[in-house]
Amino acid sequence: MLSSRDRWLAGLFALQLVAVLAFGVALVHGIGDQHQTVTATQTLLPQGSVPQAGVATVAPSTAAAGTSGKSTTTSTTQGGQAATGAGTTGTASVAKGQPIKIGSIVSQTGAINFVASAQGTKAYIDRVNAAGGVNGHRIDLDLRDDQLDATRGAQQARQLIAEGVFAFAAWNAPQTEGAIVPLLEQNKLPLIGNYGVGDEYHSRWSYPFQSHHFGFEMGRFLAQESSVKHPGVIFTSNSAAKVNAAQVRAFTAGVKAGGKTLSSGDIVQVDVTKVSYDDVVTQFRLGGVDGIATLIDQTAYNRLQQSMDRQGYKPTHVADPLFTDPNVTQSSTTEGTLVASDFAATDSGGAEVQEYATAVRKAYGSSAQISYLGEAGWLDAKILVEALRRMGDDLTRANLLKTMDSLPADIGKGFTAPMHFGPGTNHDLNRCLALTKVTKGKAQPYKGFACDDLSFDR
Amino acid sequence: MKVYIALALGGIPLGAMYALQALGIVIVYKTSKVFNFASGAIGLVCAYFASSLGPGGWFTRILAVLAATLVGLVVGVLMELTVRPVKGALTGTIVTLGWLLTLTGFVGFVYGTQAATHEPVQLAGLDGNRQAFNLFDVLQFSWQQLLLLGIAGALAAGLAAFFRLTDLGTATRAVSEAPDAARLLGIAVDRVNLVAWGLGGAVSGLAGVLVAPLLGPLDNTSLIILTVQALAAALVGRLSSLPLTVAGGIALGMLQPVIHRALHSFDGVKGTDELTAFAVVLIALLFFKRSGRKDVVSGGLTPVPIRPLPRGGVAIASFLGIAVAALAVPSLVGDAGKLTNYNVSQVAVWGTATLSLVLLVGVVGQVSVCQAVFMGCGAFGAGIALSHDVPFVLALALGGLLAAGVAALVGLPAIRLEPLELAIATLSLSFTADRFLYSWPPLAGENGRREIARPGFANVDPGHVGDGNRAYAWLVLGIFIAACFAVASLRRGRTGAALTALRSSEPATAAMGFSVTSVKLRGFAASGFLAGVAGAMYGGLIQSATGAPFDFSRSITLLAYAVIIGVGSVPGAFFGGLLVTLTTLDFGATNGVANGHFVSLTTMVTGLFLIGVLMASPDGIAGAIGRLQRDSAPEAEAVLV
Amino acid sequence: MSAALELRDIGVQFGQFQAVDGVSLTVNAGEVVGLIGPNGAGKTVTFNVVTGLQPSTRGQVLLGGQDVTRLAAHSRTALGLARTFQVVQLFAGMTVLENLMVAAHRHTHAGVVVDALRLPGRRRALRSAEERSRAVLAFLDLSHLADVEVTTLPVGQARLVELARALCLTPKVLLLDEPASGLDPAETADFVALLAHVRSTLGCAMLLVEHDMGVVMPLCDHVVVMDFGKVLASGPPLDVRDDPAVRAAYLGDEVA
Repeated sequence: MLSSRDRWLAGLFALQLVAVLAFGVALVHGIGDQHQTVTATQTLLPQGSVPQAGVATVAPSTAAAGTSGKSTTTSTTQGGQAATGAGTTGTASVAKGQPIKIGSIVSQTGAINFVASAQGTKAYIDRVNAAGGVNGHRIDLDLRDDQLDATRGAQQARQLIAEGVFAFAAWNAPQTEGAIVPLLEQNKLPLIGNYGVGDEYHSRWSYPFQSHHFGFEMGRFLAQESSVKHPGVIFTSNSAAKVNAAQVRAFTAGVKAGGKTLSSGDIVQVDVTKVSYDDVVTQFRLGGVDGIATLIDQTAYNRLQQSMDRQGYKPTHVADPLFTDPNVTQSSTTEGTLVASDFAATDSGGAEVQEYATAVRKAYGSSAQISYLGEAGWLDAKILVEALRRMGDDLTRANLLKTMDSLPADIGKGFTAPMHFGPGTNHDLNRCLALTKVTKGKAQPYKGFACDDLSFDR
Repeated sequence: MKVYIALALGGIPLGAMYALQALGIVIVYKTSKVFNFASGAIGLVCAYFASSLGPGGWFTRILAVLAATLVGLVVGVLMELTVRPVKGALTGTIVTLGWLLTLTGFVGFVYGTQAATHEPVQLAGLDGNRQAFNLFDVLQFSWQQLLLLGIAGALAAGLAAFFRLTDLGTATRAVSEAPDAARLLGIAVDRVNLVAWGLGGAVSGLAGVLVAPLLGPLDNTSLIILTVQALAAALVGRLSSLPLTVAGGIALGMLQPVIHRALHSFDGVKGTDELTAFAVVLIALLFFKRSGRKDVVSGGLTPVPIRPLPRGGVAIASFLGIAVAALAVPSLVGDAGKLTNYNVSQVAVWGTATLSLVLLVGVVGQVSVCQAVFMGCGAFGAGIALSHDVPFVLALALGGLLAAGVAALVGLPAIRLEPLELAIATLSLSFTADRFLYSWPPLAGENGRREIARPGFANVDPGHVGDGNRAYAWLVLGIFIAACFAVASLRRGRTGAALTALRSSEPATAAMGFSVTSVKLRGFAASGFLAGVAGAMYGGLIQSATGAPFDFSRSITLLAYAVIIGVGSVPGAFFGGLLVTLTTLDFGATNGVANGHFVSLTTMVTGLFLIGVLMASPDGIAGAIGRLQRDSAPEAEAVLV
Repeated sequence: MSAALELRDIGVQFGQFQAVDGVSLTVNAGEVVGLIGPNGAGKTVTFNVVTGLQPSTRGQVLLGGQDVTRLAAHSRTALGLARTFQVVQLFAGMTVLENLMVAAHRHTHAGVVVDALRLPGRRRALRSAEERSRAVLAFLDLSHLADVEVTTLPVGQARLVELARALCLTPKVLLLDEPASGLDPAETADFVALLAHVRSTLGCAMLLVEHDMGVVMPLCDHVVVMDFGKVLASGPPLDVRDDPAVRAAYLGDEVA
C-alpha cells in the first residue's frame, strides 16, 4: 500500500518530469520558429524583392548594457524551410538575385566580450542592404553569440554550415575559432575576417585582418622611447604553448630592434583569470623596469591599473588597443599611456573611422560601443562586401578566394596600414602598428605605422 | 631576494581576500558540518545587489554594503532551511552545490551576463584605490585593501570571541559535536543552525561586496573562481578556527606570487596560482586533522539496491526495442532542422559521461566534482593516439585508459579522504585543470588543441555530411549502449558486489578478503575510463580536442544532473545525456529571451531542481521510483529464529 | 602440526597506556576458545590484532603456523580467517544471498574487465559463488531468507546471516565478536547449538569474545580470561570459573 508520503512524492516527481518535458519541448519549438534554416540556393526570390520581416533589421537593444547579447537578426524568409540534408553543406555558389548568406560568430556575453565588433559588422551590412545590397544581392547575416563557450560555438558553426552559408565572415570568438579549423578545411569554407590567434590564423581558408601578435612592433616602440632604459612585457598567455613562445620571441626581437635588451625575467605571462596584478607590479617596480608593453584584455587592464595606482607605479606604458575599450575604466592615471594599434584610433581617426562611429551610434544609440573591436568588425564586413562586389555575378567560393587574394593592399584605407599576407597559401598577416597617446582622455596620434616581418609565428 | 620579500608582503591584501571568503565557509561548517560551496556565489549576488543600489556618497555606500550583507544573511537562512531536512553532511553539501548553480544563474538572469556592465560599490569610495600606506617601498596598501584587511581581522576576532564566550556560540559547538545530545539538553538545535547559516551567509555576502571592487567591473565568474583559494584557507584553518583561517588565507596570498615567480623560470608554466592553492588544499586535507564528529559516518550517498535485470522475454523485448530505437533515430533525425544527428551524438556522449558518474557515485560511493577533467584527458589521449595512426575505436579506448590512469591518481588520496573531503579536492582539481592541465603541452599539444579525425565511415566531407554524422551517431550510440551493459554487468559481478559492500561497511568488506584500497581504485579507474571514452567521443564529434568544453562548470552540471536523475540508475544515464544536450542547444536567433538569459535560466532551474530533488529524495528520481516499486511489493515475512 | 591460530606474547601500547600486555593463546582445529574478561580488559583490542585491524606493538600472530603479524586484514582472509562483528555489519541495499556472495567471491577471480565485458569467466564465477552461498544457507537452515533485504531482518536472524556470510569464506579460523549480544535466552541457546554443529561439521577453529556465560560454558573447550591487558587465567571453563583470581576480577575482592 502506498503511503500518503509516497503518493505525494510520486506526484512531485511526475510534476518535475512534466516540467522538464515541457521545457524541452518549448526549447526545441523555440529553436525552429525563429531560427531560419533556409537554403539560399533553393528558394527563388525575384530580384530586388525583400521579405517583410526585416531587411536585416538591427535590434538596437542588442548588446545593451545589462541585457545579455542577443545575437542577431536576420530576416526570416518565407516558410523557413529546413535545409535539406547532405549536399547543402555549404552553398558553394549563390545564384542570380539570391541573398548571400553569411555566417558569423562573435562572443558577446561572458567575461570578455566583443559586442562592439558585432555592432560594427551589423551596422555595415545593414547600410549595404539599405542601399540595395551588393550587385543586387542582399546579404543575410546570421550572427551568433557563442558566449565564450566552445561547445556552443562548435555547434553553431555546424548549424551555420547546415543552413547553407556561402562563407563565414567577421568572426571574433577566441574560444571557438580554433575548434572550427577542421570544418573550414572539410567544407572548403572561406572565413573572411577574424581575430587571429593560433591555428585559424595559418589557414588557406581564413583571412584575418587583425591579430593578437603585436609583440615585435610594441617591443620596438617601447625600446625607442627615450625615457625607457629597462623594458618589461606583460601578455596574456594562450592555451597554445607555441603561440606563447612566438610571442616571447617577437617581443624580444622587437625590443632589440629598438636598441635595448629585454631579459627573460622581465617577460611576464599572465592567465586570463589572474586576480591581482600586485605581484607583477611589485616585481617590475623593484626591478627598476621603467617601461612596459602590455598585451592583455579589458578585465586585466582594469586590475593592472588598480595595482599600478596602489603602488604608485607610473612607467612609460605601451598598451594594446583594448586599453582604450569603453569597458576599461579610464582615470587620471591612464593619461599619457601610449596605445599601439593596427587600426586608427576612434578618437582621432579620419573620415572612414568617423563614418563607422556615426553609423554605429545611429543604429544603437546609447548602447553603442565604439572601440577598436568595433572598427575591426566594421572593416571585416567592408572587405567582405568589397570582395563580393568585385566578384560580380560569379559568386562561387573558389572565386571568393581568388578575389580575396587579389584585393589591393590598401583595402583597409583609413583604418589600417596597407595589408600584406605572407608568402605561401597560409594567410599570415603582417602587422603594422601606429602609436597614439592618451591625452586628456582621448587617443591622439603620436607615431605613424611601422611594420614587422612575419617570422615570429613559426 | 628583496623582490621575493616584497612579493610575499604584497600578497597580504590578496590573502585577506581569500580569508574573508573563507570565513563564511568555516562558520557554516563549524556548526552544521556542511561545506558551503555556494559561499562565493552568495558574495556574487550581494556584490551585484550592492552595485544596483548605485554609487553615491559615503552614506549611500555604507547603506549599500549593509543591505547587501543583509541579503547574504537571508540567503544563508534560506539555505539552512533547504539543508535541514536532508540527511547527512555530504548530501547537504551537494545541496549547496545546487545553490551555487541557482545563485550564479540568478545573477546572470537578472543582471545579464555581459562583463563590465555594473560597477561594484567600493566601500572606501572612488578614491579608495589610492595608496594609503607605504612601508619601505615594499609593502603598499590602498584604502580599500586596508579596509578589507581590517574587517577581515575584526570579523575573525569578533566571531572567534562569539563562539568561545557567548552562550549561543557555545551552543553552536555543542550542536556541531553531538546534535542529538544537544537537543536532549534543551538546546534549540534548529535555531542554532539558522543562526550559524545566517551568519555565514552574511559574512560571505560581505566578503563579496568588499572583494569585488578589487577585481574590476563586475562579472559573474571571478568571485566563483576564488572558491579554490577560499577552500584552501578554510582547510588550513582546519574548518574550525577562524583566526587560523585568516592566517591560512594570508599565507596563501603570500605564497602564490612567490611560487609564480619561482616557476616563471620554467617558461610560462600556466595556472601556478591555482596549482599552489590546490597543493595547499591537498596537503591540508591529508595532513591537517579536522575537528569533527568521528562517530558519525559522513558516508557517501545512500546505497541504491541493485534491481535484478529482467530475464527471458522481457529482456529480449527490451533489448530489441533499444536496438531498433538506436538504429532508427539517427536515420529519422537526419542532419537538418531543429535537431540533428549532432545532437543525437551528444546525447550518447553525455550519457556515457553521466554513466561514468553513476558508476563512481552510485556504485563506488565517492562524489567527484571533476568528471569533466577525466573527459578532457580522454579527448586529448585519443588525439595523441590518433596522431600515431591508431584506428579510431582503439584510440577511444586508449583515451579512456589515459583517463583511467588519471582517475586512479585522483583516487589514491581518496582512500584516505571521506567522501565530503573528496568532493572538496575534486572541485579544486577542476579549477586547477582548467588553467594548468589543458594547456600542458605533453597532453594538449603545443597548440592547446589536438586534431581528432573522424573514422573513415563517418567522415563528413562535403556531400557526405549527413551520412557521416548518421554513421557517427550510430557508432557512439552503440558505444553508449555497450557501456550501459558493461556497467550493469560490473555491478552484478564480483567487483560490483565488493563496491556495494564497501559503501556499507569498510571493515566488513576487508573481512571478506577485499583490499579496500584496491577496490576503490578499480572503481575510480573504471569510472575514469568511461568518462575518458565519452570525452574522446565528443572530440570525434567536433573533430578536435580542447579543454574548453570540459571546464569546472561542466563538472558541476554533470554531477547535478546525475544526482537529479538518480546516481544509482543506469538507464538514468540516458536522461542525463538528454538533459545536458537540451541545455546546450543553441537558441539561434533571438526568441524574446536572449541567449545569455537562457543559459542563466537553465543554470538556475538546474540548481533548483537539484535542491528540490535532494530534499525530497536523496537518491534522485530513479531512486524514488524504485522505492515506490518496492513499497508496493509484499513485505518479506518476519520469521522468528 | 601447528595450531590453527596462535598468539605469541601480543602487546599493544597506546602512548603510555598498555592496552594488551603479553597475551598468548592457541586455538587448534575443531577447538572453541573463549576470550572473556571485564570491560576494558583488552579483549577487543586483542581481537582486532588477530583480525588485522589493529597493529600490535610486539608479539606475533600465526595462522596455521604462518606469521601474519604484518599482513593486512584483507590478506588474512585468503589464509582462512573469517570474523563476525560485535555490531552486525551486513551490507545494506543487498539481499541475504547477495551478502553471502560477497564472501563467496573470495574463491572466484573475476576482475573488472571480465565482469564488464561479460567474458566467460564471469558466469562461472557468479554461478560458483551462488552455489556456495546457497549451500551455506541450507546448512544453517536459512534458505527461506535468501531474497530478503538484510536491513529488514531482526537481530537474531541478522546474526545468523552474518555467521553464514563468514562461513562462505570456508574459514579455517572463525572469529566471533560477542555473537550472542542482543539475543534473548531462547535465541542464545539455539545459536550455541548451531555453533557447536558448525564446529563438529566443519572442524574450524573458533575464537570468541563473549560476556554471556550461557554461551561460554557449554560451548568452549578452553577459556582465556583477561584483565588489564594481561591473561589472568586460562583453562577449561569450569576450572576458570572457580579460579579465585577470576572471581576477584569480576566480582571484587571481598567475595573471593
